[in-house]
Amino acid sequence: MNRAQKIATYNLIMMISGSAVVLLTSLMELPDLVCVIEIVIVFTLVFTSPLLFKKKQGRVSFDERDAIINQRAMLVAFSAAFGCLGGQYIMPLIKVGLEGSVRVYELVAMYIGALICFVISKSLMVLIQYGWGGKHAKE
Amino acid sequence: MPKSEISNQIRRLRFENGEMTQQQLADKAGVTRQTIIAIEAGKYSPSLTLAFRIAKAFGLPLVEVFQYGEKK
Repeated sequence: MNRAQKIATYNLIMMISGSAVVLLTSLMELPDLVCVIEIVIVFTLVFTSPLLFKKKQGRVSFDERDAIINQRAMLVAFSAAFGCLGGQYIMPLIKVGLEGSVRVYELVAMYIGALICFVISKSLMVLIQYGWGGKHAKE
Repeated sequence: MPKSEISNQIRRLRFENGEMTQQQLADKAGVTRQTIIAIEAGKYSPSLTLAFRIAKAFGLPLVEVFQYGEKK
């Protein structure tokens, strides 16, 4: 596995397990602050992951192929996040109708949902393009 | 429209050049070993710059390392 694959795997595991924990916590009757802290911790761990996996000294660790893979993954991730956000914005219309209203925190939740979608789809796309750590992905 | 296919002689040339390893070629071309593996396997077509760098690593002209053919 190269560095990009390690980061993608880590992010995927962190995001899925973190989201599950946040979901479970929200189902329990705990203060909302607990969920907020959990979300902040999960996103901090995800966005600081490049610091955990350091580059190997003296060797090329990122080249044109990695750049293309990253570019494609970003494109898919942004598309997925946009689709997710759009879907979430339509949901209240179906649920509460044209005259209904939603609480402000639900807008934040929608944005967080799109971020989760972004991280998961990007990580998946990186892993798929490298071939799930198969023969052609060995370092 | 016919599909284009770029084939290469990297594997053969590596062995003809003192059994050069993929890592050694990667270091000479300034890419990762994964990229050399992908190019050798025909899973990735390199940019023109990289193709020239690989050819230079073998000390050969580009056409002797990469060939272009059309697939119907």
